[in-house]
Amino acid sequence: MIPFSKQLIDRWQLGILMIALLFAVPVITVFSFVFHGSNDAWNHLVDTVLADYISNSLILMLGVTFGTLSIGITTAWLTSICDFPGRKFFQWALLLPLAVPAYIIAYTYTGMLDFSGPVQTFLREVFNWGPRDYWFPEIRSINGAWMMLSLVLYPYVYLLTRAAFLEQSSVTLEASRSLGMGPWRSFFYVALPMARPAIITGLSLALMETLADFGTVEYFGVPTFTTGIFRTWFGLGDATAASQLASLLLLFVFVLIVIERFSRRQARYHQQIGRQAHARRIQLSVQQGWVAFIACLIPFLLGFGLPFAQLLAWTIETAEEMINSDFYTLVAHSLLLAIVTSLLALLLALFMAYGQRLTNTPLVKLMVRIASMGYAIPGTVIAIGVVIPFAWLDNTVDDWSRNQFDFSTGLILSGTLFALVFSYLVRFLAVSVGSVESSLGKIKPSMDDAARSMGYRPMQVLRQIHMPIMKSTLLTAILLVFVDILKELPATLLLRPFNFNTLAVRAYELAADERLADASSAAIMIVLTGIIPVILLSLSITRNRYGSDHND
Amino acid sequence: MGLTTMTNPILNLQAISLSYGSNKVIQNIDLQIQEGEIGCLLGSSGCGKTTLLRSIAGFEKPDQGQITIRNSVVNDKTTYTPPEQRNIGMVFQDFALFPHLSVKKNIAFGLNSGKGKLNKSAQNQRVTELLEMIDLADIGNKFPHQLSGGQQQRVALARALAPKPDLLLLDEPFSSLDIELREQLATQVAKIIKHEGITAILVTHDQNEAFAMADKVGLLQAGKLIQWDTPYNLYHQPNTQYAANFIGQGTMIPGLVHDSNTIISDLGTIHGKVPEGCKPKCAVDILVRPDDIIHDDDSLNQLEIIDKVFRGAEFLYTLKLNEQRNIFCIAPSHHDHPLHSLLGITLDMTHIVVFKRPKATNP
Repeated sequence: MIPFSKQLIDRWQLGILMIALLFAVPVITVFSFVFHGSNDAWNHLVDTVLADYISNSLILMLGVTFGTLSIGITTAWLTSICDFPGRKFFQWALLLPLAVPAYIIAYTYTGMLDFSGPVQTFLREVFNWGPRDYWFPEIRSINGAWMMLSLVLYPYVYLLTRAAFLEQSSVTLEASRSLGMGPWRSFFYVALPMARPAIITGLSLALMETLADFGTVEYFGVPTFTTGIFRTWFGLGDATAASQLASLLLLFVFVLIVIERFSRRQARYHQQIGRQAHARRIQLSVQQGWVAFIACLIPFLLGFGLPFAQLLAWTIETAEEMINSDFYTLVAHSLLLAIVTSLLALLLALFMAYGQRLTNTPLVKLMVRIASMGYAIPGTVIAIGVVIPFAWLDNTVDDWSRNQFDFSTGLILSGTLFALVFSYLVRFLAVSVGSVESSLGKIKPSMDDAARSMGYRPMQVLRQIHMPIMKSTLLTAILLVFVDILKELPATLLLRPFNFNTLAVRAYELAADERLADASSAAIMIVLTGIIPVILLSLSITRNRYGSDHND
Repeated sequence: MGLTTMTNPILNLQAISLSYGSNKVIQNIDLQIQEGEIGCLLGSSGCGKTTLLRSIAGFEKPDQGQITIRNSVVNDKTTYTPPEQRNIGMVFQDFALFPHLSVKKNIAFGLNSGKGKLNKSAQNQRVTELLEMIDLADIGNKFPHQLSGGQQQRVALARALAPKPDLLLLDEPFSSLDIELREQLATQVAKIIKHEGITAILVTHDQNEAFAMADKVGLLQAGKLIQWDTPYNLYHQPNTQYAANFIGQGTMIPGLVHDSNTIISDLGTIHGKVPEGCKPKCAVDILVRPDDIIHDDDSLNQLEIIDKVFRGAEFLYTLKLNEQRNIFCIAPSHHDHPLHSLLGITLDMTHIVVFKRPKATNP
């Protein structure tokens, strides 16, 4: 955009290049083991569990596809096209399950549905059954796993599909109606096909989360790639085999990335040009209204209402015992990690996005993409990719220092908070880069030019013009990363320093010890913070939809 | 004028060229602007005028040539001064007011940095002075989105003028305003700039704007500066057929040179200076402006009216000269003649503009 002296371009480019390369280290590390050839551990994996990992992952993906599509599309259609009592509430309440990490909903349902839980106790009391008089489905199974995942992942499909339905111009649907199609046939033949790219984008995001899930499948005893990586690493201590498993998992992920990118591009073609008044909502009859109400109520209750109520009840029940100084230490640890990392992520994102705006070269664009590819990569994989090079570096430094000075440096990088913060950054930088990039894109280039012409250097322009204008976006970017880090489980579990616990890790440990009620206080903290970005998200959606019409 | 041309110009462009790949946006442009002058770059869209302005500002970097602002070289083979060090002010097409700052803070923005830096009380004084000058003394605490387009435009001007830049650059400053507002603002803005004694360059595609504001107008075509002259000369003495066609209305009438002072044309015998190197029998084109044709009911020279446009104070008649050519005539609007009737005209060509016709083309 603005020409620079060569050195200035080089300084930004060099900085961005170095960050991108650093952030690519985990993925490169993991892939580098593909060429290591197979060792005994790998052969053992292939002979015994690999087929299970693949088939379980496929079954989970199939189940989640079914679950998220059926819930997501139905609710999106009802809340965007139809009118029924409670629609305005469900519009945003249907997003709330996003606040609940899958592993937390899994513990909660296990507690609710197990033998001594409220559901079975209630059934026994009502029907006067004895302990062995009835069959009850086992939630801790692969079917339970995809149901749990679907309940908290359907909002991805709901969100994107609903946006697509709302963007469809009323004229298209009216054209279909005028050609003799009823509202329902218009939905199946016009609205749904037009929303297809958005649906596929939402689905591929949900499937990426499914592949990345560790807590749910571990707790339900469903062997998949993530649990396999974890076990190979912790149980067998085999970095090579763990990395090879991770590369295989990444292949699945890359297929999803390609699908997601492709359908996003398709979605652009499917969008209507210009804003047109939205079609009048379909007025449902009283009976139809009730059906719609219940269709939206069920996913809300199952995905958020009931588990939240259960967590709350457990928290109150166990508060006296659980809310103590240890608990406050957990909160402090989690907050510290999340705040520091989300601030760092924001600084990096500002540097990269603004550098991209200033230099605007293809190389820089590529580097920014590389640095933000972590969003699709499961935390387990990133953890492996971080710990291997860090451990190697530590050992090399240690060996050298022992040889030279007869002094052991110990572990400087691995096994410290540094490794953990770095892996969080790799995983979540995309979130802040995305927010900052889109917000910067809305600031007209003439703003930069105006400030520069009045004697301000590029960094001063960023501080005095862009950052104040983007203030609310920057806060949102911090918050989104903050919540993601609070929820993150597998990388934290693998990389945390000895005896360093966070809310997520503690909830996982207590649940693994079958102390489900005791896990609730940590879990509910995570869910409560998770609600904040959901509210922000629904606010920004309404603002985008209605606000801009009024302001411009 | 003789004295000013002796002094060093505020802005001096020498052989500026800039290409994007194979697209030559600016080709070998030379241009000087003297202290206190308002210059204008005029041309159709894509002619390179905005790129030239942005090169002067430092937002674009020419491939060749030298730019000097008040005796210091800001751009040549080895030098590139970034925009923030050029001591310029700029008014943007979309005004580019900072949405998060009040009007006062927008205007004071350039007084906090660089060469224009002032202390707080001097800043306040300057801001108040400018707000009064743009007739918006009472809106200092409002925010840009609360202002009308015309108000935003004036605030953008005040903001650019605040640090008393060596050079004020205006990039299509009126194009996002209503047409009625444009003319009124153009003269007001020119007055303010003159009052501040600041040298300015304006980029526009609207010749009325150029004529209303500028001391000198540069006409650009396909990256080349065709003519750099006063508005009067550009209109009455265009140096090329392109300039003649671009500026104002007019028709080219073919003619034959009779002698060094006489041309025989479809409009009759015309006296005036013929182009260099035109011998008798040489084919030429004569530029006929609507104001060269005077309506005269008594004239024997009568032409058919084939179109007329009512413009309030006057009629613009299109008259049929012969099968190939029409000419324009402006008549006071009480001279209302019906379509297809005959209109009497006489010629009043005090300064004729004649171009030698290239050999290959037919009349």
